[in-house]
Amino acid sequence: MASTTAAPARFNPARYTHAASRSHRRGSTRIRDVLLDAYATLLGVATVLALAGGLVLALRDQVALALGTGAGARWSVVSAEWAGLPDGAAVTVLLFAALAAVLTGARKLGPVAVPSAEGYWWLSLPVDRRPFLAGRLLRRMALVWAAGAVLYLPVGVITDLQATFPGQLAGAAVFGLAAVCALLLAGLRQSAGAGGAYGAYGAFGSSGAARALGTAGALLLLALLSFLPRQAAAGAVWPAAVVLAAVVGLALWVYTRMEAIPGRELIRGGGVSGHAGAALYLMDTNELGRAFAGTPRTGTTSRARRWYARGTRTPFSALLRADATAFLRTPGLWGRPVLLLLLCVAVLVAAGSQPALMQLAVILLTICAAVPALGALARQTAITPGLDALLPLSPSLVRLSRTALPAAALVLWTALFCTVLVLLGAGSPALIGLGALAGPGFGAAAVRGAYRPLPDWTAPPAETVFGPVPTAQTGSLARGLDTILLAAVPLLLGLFLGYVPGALLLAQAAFSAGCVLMVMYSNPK
Amino acid sequence: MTAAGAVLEISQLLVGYAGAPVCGAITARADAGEILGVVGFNGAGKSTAARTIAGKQQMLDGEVRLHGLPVNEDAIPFRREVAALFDEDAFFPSLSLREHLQLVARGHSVPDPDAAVDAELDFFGLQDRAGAVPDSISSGQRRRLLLASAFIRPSSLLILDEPEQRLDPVMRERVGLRIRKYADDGGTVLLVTHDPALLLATAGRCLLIDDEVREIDPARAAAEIAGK
Repeated sequence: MASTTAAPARFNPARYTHAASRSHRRGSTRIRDVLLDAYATLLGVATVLALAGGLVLALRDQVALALGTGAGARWSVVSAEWAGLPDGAAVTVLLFAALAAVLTGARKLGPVAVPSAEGYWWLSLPVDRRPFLAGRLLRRMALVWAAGAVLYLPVGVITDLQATFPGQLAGAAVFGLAAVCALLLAGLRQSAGAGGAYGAYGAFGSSGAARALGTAGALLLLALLSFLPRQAAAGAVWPAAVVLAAVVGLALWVYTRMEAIPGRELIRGGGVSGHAGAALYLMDTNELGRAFAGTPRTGTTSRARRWYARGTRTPFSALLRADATAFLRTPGLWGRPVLLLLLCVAVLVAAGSQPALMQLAVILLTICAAVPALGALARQTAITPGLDALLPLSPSLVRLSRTALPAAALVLWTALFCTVLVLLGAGSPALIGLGALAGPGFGAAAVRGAYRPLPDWTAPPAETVFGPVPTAQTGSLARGLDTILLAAVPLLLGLFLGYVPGALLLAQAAFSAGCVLMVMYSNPK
Repeated sequence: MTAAGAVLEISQLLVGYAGAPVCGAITARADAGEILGVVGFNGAGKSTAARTIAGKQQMLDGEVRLHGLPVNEDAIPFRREVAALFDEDAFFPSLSLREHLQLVARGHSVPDPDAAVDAELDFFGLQDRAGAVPDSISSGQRRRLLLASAFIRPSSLLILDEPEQRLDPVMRERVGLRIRKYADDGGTVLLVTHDPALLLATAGRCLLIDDEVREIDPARAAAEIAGK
């Protein structure tokens, strides 16, 4: 056994690794390639910004026109004037939801994390981990700030017509800093570990009540921060000072607790980050969903085990039973759909009487975001087709079985959604039935999206009258979304009309059945 | 403090996932210079137990003490004392084998790290490929690199999870001798293995992990592993 040394090693593994790697890369990197890559990236970013800027300014003009003529107030899907919320409440709700989403997403990705190689070679060293962990966290903070600011700009430009352009930039900068606060709050949560000795958000203790208190405190802080961007956009300076102080305070708190984050938690975050990064690079939303999916529950109830163990008569019923069991064991199954429903209702109520088309767009966006959440099981099974092949069943019956549970869940969810809309004055109670009939179509869409093949980026674009169009790639990316739109047509029409003729119910049933048949019999490749 | 010589003390340790234990409670101790073998069937919980003892996994219940102090992988002194090798295959793509080992040697303040790296490269037969990156060597050679990284650094407890994996018979024998030498120099080894020859060549005592965990004679354990 070699002798151990008493003093802590003053060695920075990150610096050593970087220096050693650079000497390997130097020979293989050509300046010409670097310049070409930079040129292509700049050109791409400039093009995207120009297109997005044009779209945002056009939307801003439309909103200004609608508000100027008062066209929206007369013709709405839901009218929530009774709520009497102040101007800008809907935007604040949206900003709060966005900050909460950053908190949740950051918690999945770490945010203090190391990739697997660093996890093995660095974390086992007897050195202070904080310098190299802090470096990575700083880069993530900068990225989140930039992304938050860029994403806020279109929202601010469209919804805050009075603000000047410098004011909009200030609002965007403040929102970016608020997003960094959300990231740092997630970092504080990490030092709690998995039931470790440290409590949620540092000082609150480790019991369930303390964790709830920590979460409530974090959400309260985010709620307060979500008021600030609009204040900054109006020209006030104090919001920037407040949010900057919050960032500095939280960053120092996280830094002091960084050494307490367990190594396994750092490696877990790095694994999820790597998985999600690769999925984003490949534009594979299903893989992204798998990266963010939690570990399936294994501690099942004895009643569920008995039900699953009960004999079945046909292969199809055996598969259906297995699918049902696995579906119900999916972690966080209802979380996203229910949160999205609440967010949609909050936005509709807080925004008051808006034009019908805008409200329908919000409802459709909610459906598009909620439906894929219920395709989590199908996403998992899509990568192991060999298991389905073990049973003597045709692929169409397998997909029917896989559709059954998401469809049933979405019948409930859409019916609940429509019930709330009816209570908000959307129209006839028959809309609830219409929503329930749309559920199977949405269930089919969830499965179609889950079986979406990876875009083939090597396929040549098709020549059209508008020029070359990458049809193979867009066709792959649109899978699932196309079926949602198809199944939503009668429902949106019913919401637009405010009543449900019998023919519309029949049409909805036919559209949903068509979607299910399309999923059953279409080639997933 | 623990009794004189006791490096590792495990008391009623329960390991598992999501609150469910995968094997019976483990109680054992290992003194300085001792090699404690750990055997069991696939899925018995050997690796989970080893990971938990190394502080890489949350324990469900019980206690593990190293030199009388509770296991805490986040503490620098603990990381200085424990070297662990699991079924991991993570490398820096742009660092050579020599640089990987230099990273570990320098991080652990090994005196004359370059000489130590050369010695390990020689021992594990990697000197010819010292300048290569991990992607350009075989799976077995990467395993040798991981083993070298566990031996190059100072430690008082060495936890090895199936070190024989992907090694040829000659290298397995050499690893056995190296483990024996580590213990002879005063180190304590926790050796999880499916290799009867390696177990017989090294372990003085052996734990059989199952629904009930008990100590078993290494010779009998080796015979059971070999199916005799």
